Amino acid sequence: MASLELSGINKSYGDTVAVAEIDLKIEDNEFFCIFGPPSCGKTTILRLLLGLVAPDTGEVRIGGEVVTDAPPKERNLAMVFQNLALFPHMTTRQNLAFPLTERKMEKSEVEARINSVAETLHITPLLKKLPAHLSGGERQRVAIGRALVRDPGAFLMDEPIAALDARLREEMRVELKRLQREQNHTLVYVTHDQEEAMSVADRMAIFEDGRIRQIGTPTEIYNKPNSRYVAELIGSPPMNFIDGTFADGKFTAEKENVIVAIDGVSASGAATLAIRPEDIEIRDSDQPGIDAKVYEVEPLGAFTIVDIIIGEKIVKVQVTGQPDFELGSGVRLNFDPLNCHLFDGVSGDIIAHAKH
Amino acid sequence: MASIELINLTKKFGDLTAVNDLNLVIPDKEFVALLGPSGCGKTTTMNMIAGIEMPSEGSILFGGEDMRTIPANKRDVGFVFQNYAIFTHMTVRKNLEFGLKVRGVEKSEIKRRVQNMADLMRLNDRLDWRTSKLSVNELQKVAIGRSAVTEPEIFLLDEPLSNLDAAFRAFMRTELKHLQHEFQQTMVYVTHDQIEAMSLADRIAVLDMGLLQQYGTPNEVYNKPHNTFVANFMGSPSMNLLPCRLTNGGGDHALDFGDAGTSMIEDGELMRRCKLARNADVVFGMRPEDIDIQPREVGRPGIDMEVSFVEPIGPRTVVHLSAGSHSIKVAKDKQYPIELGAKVKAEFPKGRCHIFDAESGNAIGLE
Amino acid sequence: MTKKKKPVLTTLEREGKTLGLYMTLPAQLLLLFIVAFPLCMQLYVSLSWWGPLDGVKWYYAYESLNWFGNYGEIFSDAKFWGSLGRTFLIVAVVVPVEFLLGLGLAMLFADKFPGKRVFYSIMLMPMMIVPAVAGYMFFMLFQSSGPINDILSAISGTKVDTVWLADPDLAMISVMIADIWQWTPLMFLILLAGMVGVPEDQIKAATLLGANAWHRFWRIVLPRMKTVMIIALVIRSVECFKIFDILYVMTGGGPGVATKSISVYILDLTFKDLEWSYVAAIGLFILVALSLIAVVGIYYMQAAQKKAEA
Repeated sequence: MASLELSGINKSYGDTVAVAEIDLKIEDNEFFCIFGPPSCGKTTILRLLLGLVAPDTGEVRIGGEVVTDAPPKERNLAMVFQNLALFPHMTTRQNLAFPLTERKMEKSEVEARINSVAETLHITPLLKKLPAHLSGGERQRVAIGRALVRDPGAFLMDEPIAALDARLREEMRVELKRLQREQNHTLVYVTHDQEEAMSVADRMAIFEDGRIRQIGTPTEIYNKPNSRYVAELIGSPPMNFIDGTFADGKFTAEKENVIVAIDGVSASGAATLAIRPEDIEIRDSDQPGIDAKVYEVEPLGAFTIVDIIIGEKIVKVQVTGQPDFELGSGVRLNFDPLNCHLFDGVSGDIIAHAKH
Repeated sequence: MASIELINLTKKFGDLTAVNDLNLVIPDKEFVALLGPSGCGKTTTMNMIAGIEMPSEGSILFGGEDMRTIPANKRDVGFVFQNYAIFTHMTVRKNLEFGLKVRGVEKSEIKRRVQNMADLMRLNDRLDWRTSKLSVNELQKVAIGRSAVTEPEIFLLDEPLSNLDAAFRAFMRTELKHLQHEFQQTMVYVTHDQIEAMSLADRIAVLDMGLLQQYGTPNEVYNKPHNTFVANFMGSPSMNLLPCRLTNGGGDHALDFGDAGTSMIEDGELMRRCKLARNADVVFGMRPEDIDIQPREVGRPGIDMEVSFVEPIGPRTVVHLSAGSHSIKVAKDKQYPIELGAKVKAEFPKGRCHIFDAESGNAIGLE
Repeated sequence: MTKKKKPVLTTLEREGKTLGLYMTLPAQLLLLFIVAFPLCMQLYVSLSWWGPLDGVKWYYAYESLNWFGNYGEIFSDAKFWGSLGRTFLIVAVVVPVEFLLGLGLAMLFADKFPGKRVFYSIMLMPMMIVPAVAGYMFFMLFQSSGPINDILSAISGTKVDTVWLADPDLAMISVMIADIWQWTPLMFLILLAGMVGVPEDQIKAATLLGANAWHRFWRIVLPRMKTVMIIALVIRSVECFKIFDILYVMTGGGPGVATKSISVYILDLTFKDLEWSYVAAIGLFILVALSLIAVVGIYYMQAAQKKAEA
């Protein structure tokens, strides 16, 4: 398998900037996720790697070799599309054989490869069926299988399981990860589902408007988001943000009556305090803390999301289990400074990460 | 009074039975979710309540009154479509006015009510925009506002949040729930997303293949699933369901997991339920958050397994364990310290176990 | 580290751009030839007195060059203005009637009813009949001893022997009826397509917001069909302006000049009077006049559209 590298890449379509200033190295055997909202440049990255479009500036390298101007067929990458693009008139076996016979591979070799891939993906019983007779999940496996038979330098996948239902998606992503790990593939995976990205990625890049906002392991990005943008995108329920000012080592939001002292920060000015829903502690109204009122309660079985009003702001708090809260009742909230991030109120850049 | 009663409600399309003998009472001012996978009959049920689809059999009562002869435009229900069905040839204002205009409401009254709704939905600066210029989030607000402005006593929503981005979805979830508490309407909400159903509804009706599987409060449905379908459908990650055999070799009751080994039954409640089993083939169920991961030396009930995959999903870590042909998921706090390949014991704490008949899938001895 | 360089097109992109030009070039040339050549020829001939009896080929027309003599004659040609007026009358009556009938039928066919497919096929049949044959059919129907009079007699109880095609006014009405019969189906088809294109969800939404059938039609269906309606009206108006075969077979333009449309007049000029350069001038005059009307019409339509969008 090969590493993939994009350096100094810019690409525009007319006046529209598709991606800008991309410097990205995807290591050999890495499961790399490209994550961002719709039309943030995710798909353009894949197209650049595949050679379907050429960058305006910059270099594309595969396995260390410069391939910026090489046509797609010389790049030896396998692609799994969002819409699968299986040939409807061909059986599973014929679909799997297609990329091999196209390359004039010997018949016995083709058979051997198909059988081994079918085995890995548990699709041997489906080999004689047409795509129309397969379920969504099965079609997905066949599409992945068709990419797999070729022994490419790397796999590119564009939201390959987005069309499946939630339960099947959970299963398929684990399966993909297992495959990638067992077979040591380099895999670039585009998704807009943060949970999916967190679950499978070795590392991930977060895109905004064609630019990379942050690259890191899922845990790094969850715990140390470098901007408010990243913090908003990652995590469900989403992180809570409280706008206020920072001065003399203290964050203050007057309307919400929130004052949090954060050590070791010298900046001052408009700032945003951010804290994850699971990091807020709800206390009884006779305990010290921020005055608050229960707005709504959303039970989710394993945990409960409690929407709480402080000032005019609704804060989401995630607590374990199924505790009872009375709507409208008074409570106190505790923001542990060690769990709080601080972002610049204007630029949204990180000022200080949570210490935990 | 705007309770909704569905009595023996059945809908057939040719050979296909979309809704099969459904009986459901939706009390006045309650928020009820119709939950199920696609094709379970939830949308058909809602269309029948709205009157845009006629039942093949059975009847629908609003506040005790039979709706059979009342056409859709006279039922006075608010309806929000999944794709919003915004009138794209009209401005936002015209969309909001529509329901009032066709009712012949007075002009000044229309103006007042539309203004109030725009304030509530924060659509003020969008009122004279053409709808083609709105974002998805705004379209959704127009769709809800357009129905709410006529102040119907019954509000029906068909997957209204499924097209929204994650952050706005979480926000709208809270807002919808709050709006319902404020306005005290009877709300029926169709969704395939169990998280939405759990977090929003006072009661959930779980449907599958046109049949009602269970009807209860979110916690009831989550804690006491009536069958394996409900158990599997509710919760994320889903409940671990392990097929096994009941054995009582030498007086000690145990669950035989085949190639994954056996686990003794020490839980009194589980023992009681197991004794009621008609067949030895059962399905043992346990929620991912209820399972403990222990060193193998610990002697409590459970099975020896190996860590096969670790998913760090934000606030939680999902640990996948496997042994023989069985695999389970265990949900732990974030940054749970565990390594791939670690040999551990999956411990089944008392009072958290579920047991189902393997053949019918029904829960055994549920109280 | 990153070196600036000219944008590089991959083979795919490069091929795409040049290939497109080469592939469409023959078609573009052909189109130019087909449209431009006859128009130029017509313009050239119209500027002369040239006719088939001159004994010279058309390209010697410059020998009898008179610049705008033919165009001057148009303005004093009462026969021309008469036939133009009759043609406009036909358009003004026939197109709105066809439109309303077509719309009514489309509304009927937008819903389901038993036997819809059969009726649908029958509905479309008139359109597929050769117009000359349709003309012949109505020629027979409107004979004074024909079935129309028989039916009228049966209904009224007294013998009706109206001479439809020999009376100037009735002949005009007969022609209009025949044209309406033949072309209402086209109007119906276009309008039905437009009506089916109105998203069902929006109609359902309107119903659930309390709209009755009339409100649904007036507030949802009709506004969304505006474009289709305009297209249907324009197509039929242009087509109807060219009315010829059905009319010619039924009345030959008569009695007298009672049903002589602009097409029949041009036919007479061409084959009876052999005024070929004059015909060329009339052709261009009509083309320019209609184009002007169309341009003004489109301009006002767009202005109205913009006003609605603002």
